[in-house]
Amino acid sequence: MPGQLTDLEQLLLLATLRQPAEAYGAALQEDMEQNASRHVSLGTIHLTMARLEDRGLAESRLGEPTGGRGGKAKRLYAVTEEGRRELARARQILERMWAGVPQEAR
Amino acid sequence: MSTLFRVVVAVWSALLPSRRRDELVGDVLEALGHRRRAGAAKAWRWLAGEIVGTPYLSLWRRASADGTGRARRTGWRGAGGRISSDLRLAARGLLRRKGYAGVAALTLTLSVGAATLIFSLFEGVLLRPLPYADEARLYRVYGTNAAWRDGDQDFLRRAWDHAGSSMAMMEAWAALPQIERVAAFQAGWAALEIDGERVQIAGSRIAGDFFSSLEVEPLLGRTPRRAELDGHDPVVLIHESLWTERYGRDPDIIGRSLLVDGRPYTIVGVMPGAFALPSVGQRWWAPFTAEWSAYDDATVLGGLVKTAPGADAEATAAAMNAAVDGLASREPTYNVMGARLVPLRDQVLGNVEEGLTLLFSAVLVVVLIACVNLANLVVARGAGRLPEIAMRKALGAGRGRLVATMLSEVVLVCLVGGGLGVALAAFALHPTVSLLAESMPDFPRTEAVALNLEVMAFALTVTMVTALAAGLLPALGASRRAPWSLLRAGARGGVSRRSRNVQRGFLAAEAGLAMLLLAGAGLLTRSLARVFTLDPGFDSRGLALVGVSLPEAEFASDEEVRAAVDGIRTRILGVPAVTGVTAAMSLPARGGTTLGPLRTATQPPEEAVLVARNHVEPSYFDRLSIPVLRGRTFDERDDATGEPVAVLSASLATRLFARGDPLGQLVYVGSGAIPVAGGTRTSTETAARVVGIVADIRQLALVSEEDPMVYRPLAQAQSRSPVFLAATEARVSDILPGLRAAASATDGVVITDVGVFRDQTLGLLAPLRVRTVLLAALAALAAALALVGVYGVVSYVVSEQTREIGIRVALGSMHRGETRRVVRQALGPSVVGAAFGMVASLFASRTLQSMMFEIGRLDPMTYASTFSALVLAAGAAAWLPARRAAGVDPVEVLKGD
Repeated sequence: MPGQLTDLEQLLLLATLRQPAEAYGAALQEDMEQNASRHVSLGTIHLTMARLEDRGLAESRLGEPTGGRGGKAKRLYAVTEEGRRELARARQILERMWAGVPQEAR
Repeated sequence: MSTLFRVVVAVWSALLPSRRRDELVGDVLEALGHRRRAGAAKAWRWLAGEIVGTPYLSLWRRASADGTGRARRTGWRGAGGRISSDLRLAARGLLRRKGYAGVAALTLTLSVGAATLIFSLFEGVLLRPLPYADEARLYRVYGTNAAWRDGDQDFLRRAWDHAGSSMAMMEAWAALPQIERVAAFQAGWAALEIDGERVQIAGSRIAGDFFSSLEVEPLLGRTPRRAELDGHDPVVLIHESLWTERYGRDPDIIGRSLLVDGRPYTIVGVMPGAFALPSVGQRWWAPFTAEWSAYDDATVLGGLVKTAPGADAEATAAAMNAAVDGLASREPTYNVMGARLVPLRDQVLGNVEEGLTLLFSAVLVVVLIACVNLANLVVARGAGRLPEIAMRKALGAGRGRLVATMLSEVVLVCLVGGGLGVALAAFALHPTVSLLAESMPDFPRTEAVALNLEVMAFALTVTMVTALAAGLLPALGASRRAPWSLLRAGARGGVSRRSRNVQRGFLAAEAGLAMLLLAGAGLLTRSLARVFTLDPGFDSRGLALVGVSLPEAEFASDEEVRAAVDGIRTRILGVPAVTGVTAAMSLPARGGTTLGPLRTATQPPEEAVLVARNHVEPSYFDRLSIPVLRGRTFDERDDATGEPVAVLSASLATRLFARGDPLGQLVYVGSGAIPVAGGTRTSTETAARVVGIVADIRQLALVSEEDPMVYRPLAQAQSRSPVFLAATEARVSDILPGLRAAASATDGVVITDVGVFRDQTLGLLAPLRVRTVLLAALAALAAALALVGVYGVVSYVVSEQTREIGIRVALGSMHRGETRRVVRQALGPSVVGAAFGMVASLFASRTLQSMMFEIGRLDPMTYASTFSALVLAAGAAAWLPARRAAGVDPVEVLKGD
């Protein structure tokens, strides 16, 4: 098993899954900022996604260039089957840990 | 703006590996587009965060891995490792050559330091949006009057704080569809009583939508409610600075009572430090009280309007003018009145925009010189490394690898120098800002100046651009050449003709750029020197002043005012070392002069001319040494019961009475701030007989023209805020405490000002002086950098030509001749460059025109002296290292071969 997912990796994979349309850098950054209250630089996002790709948890392809980007194409990310499994495992771990916390401490 | 963003992103993208660069840059541009909608400042901050937060090393390390993306396997043998090993090598190389590293880092420290400092001012004051909502829709309203002739309009523009709206005009404008909000204000002073002490403090009366159009949240409390705007429940808001200084930032201030001119007001809010309207230095705001409705038709109010979204400024002004014409049925003067809209931004920043832009351009020239200097050093250093480069190339190093190796040294030096430069700027920022705020109290937005992320991003960009510009060309040049040619060049210890030509070009460019700045600074300095020595028409030496205010609450009648003035005058005469005293409504070249209309008996009211007005005691002209040209000045006949009399300034007398004798004629002196017409307001005019003519003086400001003036006796037109001038033979500052005591001995008197008169007249020159000093400092820095460049190149040439010089000396050339030859070689390009720089500065001086007084922008003295100074200094900088050529021993040199 290729190591456990870090906090940031989990959030980014979830953000990728959550995107209603295209999952690319700027969209992921905005989602992270608004819904996870986390500011992550675009450079870090692309680096982390690339590392997830190396581990086979995500994949990417180049989209079409669109306006407002200086003619640059988007890199569109997606979560692989393996990635979904890792995410589910991470969630199970969290839930298992929460289950052991007594009610009054929650 | 958007170009600047793009430039910064483009420079930044050069730091990224090509893998994934495009999509990353695209994302940044797209996100930037979104962020800019929330304001440029937010977008800059975000971009700075991106630049700082990008994991460069990891991105490069990954990029160096092969296409299958197995990054971790290559590890530190990847690009990251290469970069770090290059940097280690560079650091070792630099430590070995401390002279080179030191000069390069110092060049960067000084130029980046200066650029960062000036940019932080530029960014904080000019680039940042104003703290007011929808600033693009906010306009100051200035009054116009079709009856004024062109000369009057010019005169008005020179006078400060001119307002031209009335309550009736405001109401008419509020009904226009193009206008969303209208506010009126009148800036002034009031005696505020805090902790039992009465202090005269600048503030504004406001009406209408003053706070609701600006939408600035109070720091504490609230803005006035609609009912309070009528002035029935007197409320006041105070500025953060007043809250801090006088109330120790007491959080329970809201609801407390404050005596304003003797009447109790309730403090309802504290406005933040950045709130500075109608002008910098306003420290309280209170709605007009009920009796201010007397200003219904008096066009003395300042106006502020917020246009409706999408409304065109020109169309709005036209509609506003039409609305004013519609008021003519209630008051005929409205026929000739109108409004002119000035964007609030121009109003707030207009005074400093020119100066700051000039300084920013100057500092960019300094950076350019630093860049050339550095390139020069890199070329020299690169030549020394030729054998090493040749060896690496022969061993199969790729071109990119070679360029990276050579660049890393420059980048390292630049980062160190740039870092020190930022530290230098951080060190100098506070003193500079307080210097600005102290010497120019109305300098806007000094509180917004800080070394923030935007400024850091700018400093980093300047540093990296300098490094790349200076390092890339020489590195590419060397990497392109074949190893054998490099080896041959290196072994011979000589420099190619090409790189020597490049060096000559560098020298010329530096001299030209330095000349550009020196000429500009020279022009401003000479113009400033002229202003200091010019004759203002009066003598301000040996005089101290004390200004007082006599509030109506304590001094109700004219008799009480007169008695108080007499009492103060007598006590001032009793102050030791005081030899004489006089009083006036205002003093020349110090601000606060009143303007008003004046006409002769034959002119209809609407043809009145606008003049500066002063009410003075008989001894005033004597004290200030203003020559009496004809007739007499005032004496004891001209008291409250005597016939109203006036003294005219020479230029005004000529203008009014081109034919005939002015003496004995009647003039009508209006008391309004603008000419009134139509006979409905004759009561505000006083018919006064001209009894004398005095020489012209510069009343409004030292650097303005000689102003048309009318003087009236203070005894016939008592002022509630007279200024006393005390003459002394002793040191003027020594008598100030005595003056203060003399003035405050009468109960109820508020002291508005105590000081040395000469300092105050010169104080008005502060903007000019500060600008000149800063530009001169930058020019000196530019010249110093250029000289370092000359010195560096000549030292290098001497060390590289040791062999050639040795052979020449061996063949019979004299040492002194060799020294001269080397100096000549360096001086030639400097002279050519300086000449080009001089031609360029002849054109560039056009931008300085408006900041210059008393000398022409093509002043030959300035150009000649700066040119010769620069060439002489360049000669000296070349001669110092060239002397070493004289010490070359031909035997030693040839033995070494």
